[in-house]
Order: sequence, then C-alpha cells, then structure tokens
Amino acid sequence: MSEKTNRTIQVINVALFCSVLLIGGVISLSMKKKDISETENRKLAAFPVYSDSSLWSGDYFRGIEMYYADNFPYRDKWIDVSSSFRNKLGFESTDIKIYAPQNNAEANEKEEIDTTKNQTAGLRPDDGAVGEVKKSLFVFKNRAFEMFGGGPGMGKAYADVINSYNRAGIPNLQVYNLIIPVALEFELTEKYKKLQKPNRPAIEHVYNSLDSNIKKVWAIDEMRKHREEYIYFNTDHHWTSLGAYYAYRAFCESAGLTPVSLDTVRSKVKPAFLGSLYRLTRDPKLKENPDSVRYYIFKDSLRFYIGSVTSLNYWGKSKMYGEGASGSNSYSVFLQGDLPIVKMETQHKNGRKIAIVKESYGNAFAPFLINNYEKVIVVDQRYYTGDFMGMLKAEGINELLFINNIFAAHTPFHIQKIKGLRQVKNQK
Amino acid sequence: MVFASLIFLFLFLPLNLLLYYSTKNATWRNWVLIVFSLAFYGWGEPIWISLLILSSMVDWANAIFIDKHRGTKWAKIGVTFTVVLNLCLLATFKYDQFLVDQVNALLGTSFTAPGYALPLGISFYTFHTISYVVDVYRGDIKAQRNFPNFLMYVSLYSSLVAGPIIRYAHVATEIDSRKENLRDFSLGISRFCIGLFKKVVIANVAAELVLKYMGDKGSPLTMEGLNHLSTPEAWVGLIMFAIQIYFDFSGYSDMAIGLGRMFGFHFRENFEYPYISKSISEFWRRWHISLGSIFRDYVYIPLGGNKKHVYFNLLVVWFLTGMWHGASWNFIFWGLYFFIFIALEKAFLQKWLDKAPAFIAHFYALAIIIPGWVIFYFTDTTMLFAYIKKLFTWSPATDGYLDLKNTMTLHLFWLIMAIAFCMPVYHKVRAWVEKRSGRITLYDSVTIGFNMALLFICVAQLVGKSYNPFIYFRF
Repeated sequence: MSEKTNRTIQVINVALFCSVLLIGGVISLSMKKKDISETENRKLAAFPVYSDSSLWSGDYFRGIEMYYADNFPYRDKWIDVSSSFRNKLGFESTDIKIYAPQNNAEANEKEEIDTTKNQTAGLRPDDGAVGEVKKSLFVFKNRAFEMFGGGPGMGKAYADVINSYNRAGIPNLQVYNLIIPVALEFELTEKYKKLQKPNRPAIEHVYNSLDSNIKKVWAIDEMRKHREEYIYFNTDHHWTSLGAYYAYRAFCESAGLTPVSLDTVRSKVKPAFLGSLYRLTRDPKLKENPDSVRYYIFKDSLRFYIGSVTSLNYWGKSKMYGEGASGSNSYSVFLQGDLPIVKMETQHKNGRKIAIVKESYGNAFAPFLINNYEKVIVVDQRYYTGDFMGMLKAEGINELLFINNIFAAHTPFHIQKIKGLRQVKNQK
Repeated sequence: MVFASLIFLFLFLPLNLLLYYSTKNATWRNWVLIVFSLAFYGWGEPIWISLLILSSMVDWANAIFIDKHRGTKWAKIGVTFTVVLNLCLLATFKYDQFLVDQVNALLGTSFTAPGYALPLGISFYTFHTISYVVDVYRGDIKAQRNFPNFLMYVSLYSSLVAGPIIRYAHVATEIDSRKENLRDFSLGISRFCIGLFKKVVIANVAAELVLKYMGDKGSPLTMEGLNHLSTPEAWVGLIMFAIQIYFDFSGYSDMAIGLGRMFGFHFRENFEYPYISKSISEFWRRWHISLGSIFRDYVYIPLGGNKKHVYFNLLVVWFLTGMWHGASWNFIFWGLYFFIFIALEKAFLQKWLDKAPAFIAHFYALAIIIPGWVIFYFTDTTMLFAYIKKLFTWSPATDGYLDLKNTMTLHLFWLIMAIAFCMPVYHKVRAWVEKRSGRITLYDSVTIGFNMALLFICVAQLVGKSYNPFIYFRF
C-alpha cells in the first residue's frame, strides 16, 4: 500500500468521526426543544434550576445530562432504530415473548402527564408519586397482555373499603361493585396457564368478602361468552367499548334495567391506535396489529358537565367524548380522559341517580348508563380530591357503583385512593 | 462524566479535540487537557477536584524533594510520607466504614465512620502518584519539575476514573513532548469506537440480564426473588455477569487507550483476552494488567518475590488485590480465593496443567474464574452464600424454563458475538489481513465504515436508554 493511500484513509477516518460528532453537537444545541413526549406519555426532563447545593452535590450536572438525552435531535427516530436493533439480537423460539418492566423505580418518580386532559377545571391530577407494581408483559398472538398476580389479602382490603361506604349510613343508597378481568383471562392456553392467576376466583374472593346487600356484578361471565369478539385492545391495556358494553349488560341485570341494544346505535371509529403496551414493548408484531377505538353516539339528549374539586356547585358545560383524541391517546376519547369528576343529565326522569367511582376502565363504561339513568356522576378515584360524601348528598345520589379492573382492585395505591375519597379535602 | 454518554460524545469530546488541535503550542495543549480533565472529573463531584489537586501538589513537591536528597535518609522519609499519605486518603475515603466496622466488632465499641462519599477514581489516582514517587525514589525516573505537566499526568481524563493505571515511567517522554500524528489519531478513533460498542452494546445488554437474575444496586436480589430462581437461571445470571464485567471494564480501557492515542499518548494494554487463559496465574496476567503490575512491582517483588517466603508474599498480594476492589469482606474473600488456586498452581497444579490437553486447562480456568464472580458480586455475605447454594444444589424452574429459553433465544446472536469477542478474533483477522498489503488498504477502508456503524448503533442505544414509557399511573 502506498503511503499516500494510507494517509488518505486516515484523513477520511479522522475527518468523518470528528465532523459527525461536531455537527451532531451543533444540531443538538440548535434544535428546538420539546416539553413532552407523547409516545412515552411523560414530561421530558427540563433544564435544571441552578443552586449552589445542586452544583456541589452533582445534581445540577446530572440534570443537564438528562435534559440533553431527553432533547437529543430526532430522538423518536433513534429510539426506533434502537428497538429494531434490539429485536435483532436473537430470535423468538416460542410464540410468546415476555418483557420485563424497565426502569420501574425511575418511572415512578416522574410525573405523569396527559396531553389530552381538559384543563378547564384548572386541575392537574394528583401526582401521588405511587406507581403500579407490574411484573411484566406477555406478547402472544400479536397482542400484548399484562399478567395478573394479585393476592387474596389485597382483594380483602379492597372489599373492606367498599364495605365502609356501604356502612357509612347514607340513606337509601344501593352500592354495586364490578371488577373487570384482564384480557389474558380469556386468552391463556393450557401451556401458559401458570403465567397469571386466574381472575374468576380472585373476583369471587372479593365478592364473598363484600356485605350481602352490595350487588355484585358478574361482568366476567358475560364477557367470557363474547371472548371471541373484539373486547380488549391488542396494543393497549384497556378494554374496548364493546367489552365495556358486555359489562354494562351484566350490570343492567344486577340493577334491574333493560340494556340498550347496540343494533340501533350509531358509532364512530378512531383508527390506527397503538396503545400503552406497544409503547412499553415496541414490539414490531404489535405495530402490525394496530387497534381502532369505537365509541357510540346515543340519540338521547344529554347534558354533560365537568365539575370541580373545590366546589360542589360549579359545573361547566362540555361534551361526553373528547373527539380530538387521536393516535396513541385515542382511548381518551371516552369522557375526555381521566377528569376528576363529570356529570351527565338525561331525559329519563325516573329518579335513578348513580355515582360511579372508577379508574380509566370506567371511562368506556359510563356512557352506556345514560340510556337508563336520570343522572350519572363519574368520579376518578385517583384525581378527585373534593367532598365526595357531600357531593353524593347534594346531587341526590341513590346508587353507587365501584368499577375497577382487577389490577386496581389489588393495588394498595387504588385502595388508598378510594378510601381517601371519604375524607373532605381542600373544600372552600 | 462517562464516555458512554451523549453529552460526552457530542459536546465534550468534539470541543476538546477542537481546542486541543487549534494550535501547535505544546503548553497550550497540555493546559487544554488539564482543563478538560478537571471538568470531566468535576462533572460528577465538583468538590473532589480540590482533593485531587491538593494530593497531586503534595506528591509533586515531595518527588522533587526526594530527587534533591537522593541517597539520604530524607529521601526515605519523603517516600514514606507519600505512601502513608496516599494510603491514608484511601483509608479515609474508601475504607472508613469497613475499618470502623472491624474495630467495633473487635473491641465492642461503637465508633461511627465519617461517611464521606467515595471520591471518583481515588483508587486509581492514588496508585498513579504512589508509583510515580516510588519510581523517583528508586531512581528509575526523574522527578517532573513542571507542576502543570504532573497534574496533567494525574488528572488525564481518559484514565482518571476507571483506569488503566498509567505508570509515569511509560509516558514520561510523552508528557513533556509528544508527537501527535494522523496515524495515531485514526487508530485511536477505531479503538475508541470498539470500546464504546463493547460497553454500550455488549456490557449494557448483559447488565439487563444480570439484573433480571441477580438484581443490582437499585433493586437488589431478595431471598424471595432467589427462591423463585432455578439453578440454570442462576448460572445464566452469573455467566452474564462474567460477560458484563469483562466488556464493561475492557471496553472502558479500550476507550481510554483510544482517547489517549487521539492526543498522542501510547498507553499499555490492560486486557489480553483473559477468558482464554489456561490457568489462574495466566488469567491474572491477562486481566487488568496495569493493576497486577503495580502489585507485582511494589508489593510482591519488594517482599522477596519468588526468592523467599513466596506463599506469604502471594497471600499479601492477593489480600490487597481483593481489598483494592472494594471495602467489604466479599472482595477480600474473592482475592483469597484466587490466592488458593495460584498457590496450588505454583506448588504442583501448573505442571499438571502443562501436560493436560488444552481444553482441560481452559475448562479448569473458567470453572474457577466464573464461580469466582459470585463472590465479587454480592457484598452481602448472606445473599452470597444463598446464591452459591442455589448454584450448587439443584432447583428446577416452575415454568418449564419457558422464560429462560425465551431469554436465551432472544439474545442468541448477541451471545454468540459476546463469546466470540472474548476470544482474539480481531487479532486473528488483523494478522490474516497483514499478510498482503492489498488487504490492508481494503481493511482500513472498511474500518472507516465500520467505525461509523458502531457509533451509529451506540448512539441509538444511548438515546434508547432514555426511552421511558409511562403507563404506571394508567388505570
């Protein structure tokens, strides 16, 4: 090899390496910064605030490093490259894949943001700083599933809290409880049956611990009859409105109501929904199996209000569906996402007034009730910090439904939040 | 700061190179390195910069003092002072808790340790300065008269926080006047990219698997977690740790050597494919070579080496080697564990191994080295013994090894690559290439693309690490 070729190669190597780093550095400094990452559903790290103590502890520089990584140019594209590279490190030997949760501890410290949340009530969700404890995710037949592993002790604690509302001495109040199974309950094959605890015995255990005059809704049995239908999303941890509809039918049976038939109801669809489980796994199989979110438009006239956590008298007019929700946030179409409290008033002047205490699964469920109730109030157990008991009285509520998915019913965070509703907070 | 971070790659390093090569003035260049090194060091813990500068200053002045009083008792006092001072620094900052615990256990007292955070790289730079001052005392090298030059040697960021331990004697001429050139720069880049890849793609992925089976500092393995672990999973976890620590450490050394070379320094190799060793003695000649040579030259040989009470000398060396790795008993056990096998090899085993077929010797070495890592891993002795029990008594998986099988095949290509890179594949290829000059041109051209590809994958992985989807509040 001539000395000249040798030198040319070295020049190219040095020039290329240095210019890639230098240009990358310049771009990284000049690019416009984003505040939030919608695909991750979190706030990106902000530039740290300077203080002498943060400087000496090293926190200030660590903050800069996090800020820099979170705001790296074309971050989403890099992440795509990274996950597709990770998928090429081996191959799948079975038809399943199990994802261990990543950075649990770190994630728990960060505040959740919900970009579609209607801020008219001037609220932010309580950041509570408590996360869900989640074992791992299971990918099977082009769908992702969460695996339930809750124990009977936690189920009993949940039942005790529901009982406390039943025993609170509210006159003429009928309490209902509905626990929603997770999708995997209906999909597990013999081979993988050990991966999660069967949901029905766990639900049965909770129901057996409830007072006898609380009505227990066996949504799980009604849903099981329709397991072949599209009742859960492939890429998101929620159920579909169709799944919620079958739970509603079971509820109507307990409550002595006639369920609305879907045959005559118009619906709209939000296509191309890649939900939370895709975001968590970034599994290519899920990407090829996107969901669609169907929501039903009922003919009955309806007045929809967003309430306040500081006043029982404030009700701002709004709409039941957040039709602006799209893409990875499509599930937020139902009740506009997780608002602390909303109210629906209908033409059915039958004197039946229900309050629903729920987590996000309840959002897809609640709209069906406007076909049967005069008034429906929906409270998010995580975010409502107002005078819940006062609200029940002020609104003349005579039925109270606790609706939770089976994880929530076995998670201390949710149980605490439901318990906490009874304490009056920040009331003016 | 660490090398494997976006901010280092895209801001620190290019700025450093730009300022360094902006003039030909050697003094300026040294100052650029000093400023960048202190910034690199202070990025994590700004407060300890003062300790670094202060201790360098004392050792620098002391070396000149020794030079002046060569052959007198003052020189002896000088060298003793440096050794004692640096060991005191280590005792105060690294071993305080450990020493206080031992005293309390022994005397039934209840002293409390000052509880300083361990200053970054203190185990490395105290050894830099000790070796320097001792070498001056022995007359092997001349004392450095220029303080900035000495500070640059001690603080040089490429090797400051995680080695290799650079001996002053090896770089003395390059400190005062080095000749940077294009060839070194280019080779340094290639070396750096390989090191980055070893760290980001091999060690970091291995770390995830180690976490899965053995836990880590953030979420340590609990007894309950261990009960759920099957014996094969426990072994896989341990092998993953063997992969992780080798690629992490040797990747770091590669990056350090590569960076040094970009600035015209030629550091010695720190790892020579340790996992292909045929004995434990050989393993330690291939693993963390710079540390081994320090203990050899400053402890083993002065104690008498092979000439007198050799087993005692070995015991001291391996006790100290273990202790150097961390301030808890498990590291001392780990050092003594190697002492046992090295002593056995010295007594008779080496002769047997020499006669045995190569594969038996390889098997023997790995069968000692890999289980040794478990001692290194668990600082909590209860967990350590529980994990060892798990390794050597059979307990099957409850899921029919579904998860283990999956994990293995999902990382199969990666695993093959990792194992291949434990062997001198690269050197074999290079040797083959060098047989014909035509091949070299082709090889070097391909290297350019290869470097870019490695860099590209590493950046993607580093960005991917910040990907943190949030559904924990989701219900």
